[in-house]
Amino acid sequence: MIDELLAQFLIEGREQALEAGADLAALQRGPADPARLDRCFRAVHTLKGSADLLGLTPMGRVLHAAEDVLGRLRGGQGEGGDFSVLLEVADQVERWLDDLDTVGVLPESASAASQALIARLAGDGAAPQVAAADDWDGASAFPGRAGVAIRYRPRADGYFAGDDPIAIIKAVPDLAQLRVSLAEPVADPALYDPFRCTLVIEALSTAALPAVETALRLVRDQVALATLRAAEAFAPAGVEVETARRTLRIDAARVDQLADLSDQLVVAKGGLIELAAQAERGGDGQALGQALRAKQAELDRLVAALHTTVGQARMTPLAPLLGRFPRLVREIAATLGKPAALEIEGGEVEVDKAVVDGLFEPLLHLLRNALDHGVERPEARTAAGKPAQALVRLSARTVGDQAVIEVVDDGAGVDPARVRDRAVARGLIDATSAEAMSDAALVDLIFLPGFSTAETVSSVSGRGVGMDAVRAAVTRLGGRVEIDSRPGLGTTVRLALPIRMVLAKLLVVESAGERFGLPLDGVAEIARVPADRIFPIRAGRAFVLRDEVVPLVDLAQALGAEAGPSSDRVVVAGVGGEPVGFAVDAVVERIDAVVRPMAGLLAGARGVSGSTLTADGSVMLVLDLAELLA
Amino acid sequence: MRIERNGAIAALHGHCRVEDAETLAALLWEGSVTTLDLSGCDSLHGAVVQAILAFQPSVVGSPGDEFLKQHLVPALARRATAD
Amino acid sequence: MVATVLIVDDSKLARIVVGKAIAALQPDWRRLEAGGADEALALFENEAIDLVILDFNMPGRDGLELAEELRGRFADLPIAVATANVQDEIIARARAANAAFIAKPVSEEGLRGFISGAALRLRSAGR
Repeated sequence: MIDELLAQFLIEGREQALEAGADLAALQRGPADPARLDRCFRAVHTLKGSADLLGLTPMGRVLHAAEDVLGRLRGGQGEGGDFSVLLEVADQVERWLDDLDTVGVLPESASAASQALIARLAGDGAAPQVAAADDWDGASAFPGRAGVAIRYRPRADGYFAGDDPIAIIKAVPDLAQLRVSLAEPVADPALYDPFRCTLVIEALSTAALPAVETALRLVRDQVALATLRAAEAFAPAGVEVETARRTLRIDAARVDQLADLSDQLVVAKGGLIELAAQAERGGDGQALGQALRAKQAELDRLVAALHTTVGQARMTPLAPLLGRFPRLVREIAATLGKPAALEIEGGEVEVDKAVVDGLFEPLLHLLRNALDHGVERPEARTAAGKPAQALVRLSARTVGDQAVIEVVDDGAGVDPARVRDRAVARGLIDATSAEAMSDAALVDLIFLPGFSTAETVSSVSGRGVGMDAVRAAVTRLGGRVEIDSRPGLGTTVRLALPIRMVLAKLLVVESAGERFGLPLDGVAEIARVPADRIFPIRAGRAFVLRDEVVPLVDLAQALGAEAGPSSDRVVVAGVGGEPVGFAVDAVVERIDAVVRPMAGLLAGARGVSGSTLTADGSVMLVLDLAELLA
Repeated sequence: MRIERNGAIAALHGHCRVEDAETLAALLWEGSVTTLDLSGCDSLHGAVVQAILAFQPSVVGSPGDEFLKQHLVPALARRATAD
Repeated sequence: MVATVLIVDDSKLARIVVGKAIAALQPDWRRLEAGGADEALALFENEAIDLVILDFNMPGRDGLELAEELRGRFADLPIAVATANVQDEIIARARAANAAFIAKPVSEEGLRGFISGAALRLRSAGR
């Protein structure tokens, strides 16, 4: 029973914590907003009730204190209150929910953390010097390793308090790895302050989590821990990444629809038994064939409906995924000492659950990159006439059958010359071809495997997980990544992802001796265009279709093959809103198929959106006509 | 902490404590010491480790203490050569 | 530089142990002793005290309560609480009062971090 309640709390509680966090962030930024305050109060109140019900005492206590503060604010006392500690409470609750999700209990540190927050809500005690980034990505710090990953960022005045961070980390049992670095470079050695602590310690212990927590309990507020299982360690490109959270909330009406369809399938199956009996009795062959065909049509319809309904049930809004980032961005920005605001748009966009699940890592990486490498330090921004606080936008929108997600920063942009030098230095391209490349092509090189390795290491961007991993992850989901950089103004990284991964209707055509699938929804019509109706126009050819001049492209040529023997079959498809004719050798058939995104060597092939298996087991490429002409 | 100078090499001996960080930082800033020999160290305080990271001398030596030998000195040596 | 350290513990024996450890680390420092919170607060009226080491487990006001009261009056005073039993709740309260922990029984090694940190702070405040 408790498990069931906990599972429900993990779903609802997360939504409430996200909502409260978003409202608090807005209240902190903006003007007083009583409606927001009310909503936030209710979310915290509900969270508190659930935490008490489940016996999560530290969580319940701190939420109770937060509720009191919100209640006073709501009552008009403490006008223009400070929302930053409340926001920390919401963040802490989110982290605890993550803990509950992974290990089923609150961490040992919970009551200390709760007490500390309660004290600060009550207004005594100073803010901690350093926000411990509990969402620091331990897996990417120690790729492929199992154990407890530790990131310890001692408070700046720790030496004066008598702390020796090295002695503290030495006391951790079963240390397997240790890294030491500085949180900030030494700007001026003459002004170096030997007693202001700027150490960052990363370590991996193979001991159990409670043992590590005990060793670090006195500095728990300065430590982030992550339990790594070997399988959870960030997988190299090409390996399936399994995400931890697999719960899916489904609209009840969709479940009813599914139940109804499965009933109909059972009935249809019953009909087949009857037909099999008839066949055994040696019934009329032709009548039997007709009856079988009717049953097949019925099954076809049911299977297609089932596919669609399951596809819809798997559709889930992006809001919960996008909602996880404001806190992470706050923490990353604090670690880097770069003030930044995150704007989020398009949480209502619905995408296949599998796509949503696969997006967290790549988006987190892009946001980190934007803050770490894109956004300049506040002094540099001020000098460049920009506001000291950077702005990062994470937006989603639907374009046709794709979801377009953009991470936009207003930083310095990517310097093509530096990319070129690095790529040449790393032997990714040779110097001569580098000279001939456009700036956009140079910037695109950051997606090459091996481009971002050790040298770009910082405590935030992590080690060895570069933009190539982002491209690989997005490609696995059937999507594409593009980067657009304007020097001095900022960088836009755009992900285009399929909204659903279900049956696609394809038109199979033959060209240059091969069969290709064309997405049928892009095809306007199939025309016969005799050679004498084709005329040259500018660099190409065109024909007239119902008084409209339509450019004509030989599909084989567009694919880089020899133009085939002339046939009069032309597939007219809408490309960028305009009809374009594609000359093909033959139009073979229409099929329904599951299109898989391309992987491996062909992943980057232009104009190919995926592949499907044909009835005879061979692989057929599915073309993206718009990209083919781009 | 006791420091033994031999040209550009400085050998640190004994327990290097928090107050030694200032001495070491001053020595490294002055610039004539480019290499630290940690063989004779019994312990290194965080502030001393931080000074080594800040001024990036080459780090050599294999101290007797297991933690220093296995973890800390290799971590410092990696940083000093990686940058 | 010479600093004045106040040792607060209801056990005379414990005060001697702490005093010896401090003497080993900082032979020049002046040591004052108090047997309880009230006596300690009375000493603050007449003496310039630079740092304090408080026993957690004392009759009447315990070490943390005293630490909280002292912190309210002296924002920068280095305070350490000596205890054998560190619970998370105590850690949180000590942290809120910006007090350090020292493990009991108190030893020279156990005291070293706090004493050298306090010495740094006093020196940097002095220059």
